Amino acid sequence: MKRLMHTKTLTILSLSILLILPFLLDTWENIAQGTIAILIHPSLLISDYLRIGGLGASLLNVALLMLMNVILLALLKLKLTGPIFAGLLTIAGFAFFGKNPLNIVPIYVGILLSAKFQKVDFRSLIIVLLFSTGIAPIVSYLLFGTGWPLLYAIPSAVVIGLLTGFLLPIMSVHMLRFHKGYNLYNVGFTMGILSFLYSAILRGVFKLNLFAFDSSTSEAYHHEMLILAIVVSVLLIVGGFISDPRALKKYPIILKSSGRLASDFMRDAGKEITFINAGVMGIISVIFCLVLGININGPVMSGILTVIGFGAFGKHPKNSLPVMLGATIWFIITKEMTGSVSTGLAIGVLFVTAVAPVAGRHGFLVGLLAGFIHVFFTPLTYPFQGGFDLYNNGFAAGFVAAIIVPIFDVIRKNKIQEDMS
Amino acid sequence: MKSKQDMKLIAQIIQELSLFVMYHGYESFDLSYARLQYEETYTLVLSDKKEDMLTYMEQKINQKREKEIEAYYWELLGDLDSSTELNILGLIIDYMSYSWDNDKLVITLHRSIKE
Repeated sequence: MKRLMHTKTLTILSLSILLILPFLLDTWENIAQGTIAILIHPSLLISDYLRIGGLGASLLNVALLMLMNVILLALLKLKLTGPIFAGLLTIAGFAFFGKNPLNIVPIYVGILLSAKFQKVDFRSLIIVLLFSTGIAPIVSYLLFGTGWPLLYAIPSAVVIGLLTGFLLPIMSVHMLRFHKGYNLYNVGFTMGILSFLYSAILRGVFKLNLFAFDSSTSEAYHHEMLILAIVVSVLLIVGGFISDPRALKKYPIILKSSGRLASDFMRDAGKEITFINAGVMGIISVIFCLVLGININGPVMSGILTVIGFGAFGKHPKNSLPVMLGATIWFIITKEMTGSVSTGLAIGVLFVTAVAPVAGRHGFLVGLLAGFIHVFFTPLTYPFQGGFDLYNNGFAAGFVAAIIVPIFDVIRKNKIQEDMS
Repeated sequence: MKSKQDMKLIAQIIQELSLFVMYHGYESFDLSYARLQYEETYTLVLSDKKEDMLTYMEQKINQKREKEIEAYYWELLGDLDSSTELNILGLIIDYMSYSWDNDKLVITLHRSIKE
């Protein structure tokens, strides 16, 4: 059984299941039609592929994106690390809303060109590459959302996709200074800045309306998604325990970490306990959804999978629960006052964990405050960046961390003494 | 010839190390940098030996170097927030050695370089 837990075996097994699953749950015809619908959709925030393409096509989209990226990692001979695990799960999640095999390719090629230009090993840019696809809608939008003839749409989509990939590795390194590593979705923050530029040009120069698309979601597959989220989480926990029955002894190493970038739990505490932590984070996300009455659509599923992924790269219950509870306070107030809650706020309860390191550094109450503030930022950053940055919460989290961390570093200046004692 | 980015990285490693020892209570220390043929060295000379700090440094610094972390997260170096945060430095340095010499603790961090 332990042999089964080897990363290579697990990867092949998971990919096989992912590729077969769509055809067990949906018809070939639905899957083919849905896949075409997904590929030709502008994919701006929020485009729920479960509504646009249906269950089978969305799951196939997840499988194809995972396959592409796993092959790329294998070709580059890269081993599984915390950031790579987080990147893969984030891709799987956002394959439910915004990413597809067509819109990610120009960005990847752009990153390859950037590596050549900077004369650095392409493998060294793998972290940026895995998270770069959050801005993939710019490619789909220029191809299918502008209404331009294909003669103009195709070259503009390719050129902007390449340019985006080229710029991201250069820009994202420098953006770290803005939030000092307390926003786990740093590439999301960088893409927000770049999206702001694209949004300004497309709206200002070309007079395009970026918000004219149907952003409704589908909750029709709530039960299937719920089962999938629980199965993934439980498998990670069980797999971790089978591999190392005494893995829990290493949990304090993870729980003591602030989670600040770059906290690779696989490296610091081992793969087994990291899988368990990722599974626990998945179960926590599912519990929040069930207790708050959030039906799982594409964006919510994306949030759950991203939280699971970052269970290997900065998130754990101790630093995530305070910020999730902070966001939950506003969720409950809104629901009580208006009777309904937007998808943006619902996914905010999950994606707020981008600022989990703030709680990891400054404790429960500051984390609660950061989470509460975060959900006010996301509705503002969305129109600002035009919906090209799928990691809108990562964009907002950069500002939240940049505001909260310096203030509490001064207020709690004796924290260094506490750390040393 | 080092690039501007290489020089910035060296300066940030020096800043990170300085903050680290100060967070551990040292009020006097020497820190020197040398570029040799195949490696760079950062040498810390401390007046006394703090076992906890040394054990923590050994554990973090002797981790396998990770080029992808180095390429992306080097900007966070030098911005240490606590005495237990040597994650990034550990992935940029190849290994460390130390000796106890004339009542001085001499810690040397080695980082291989491409020629």
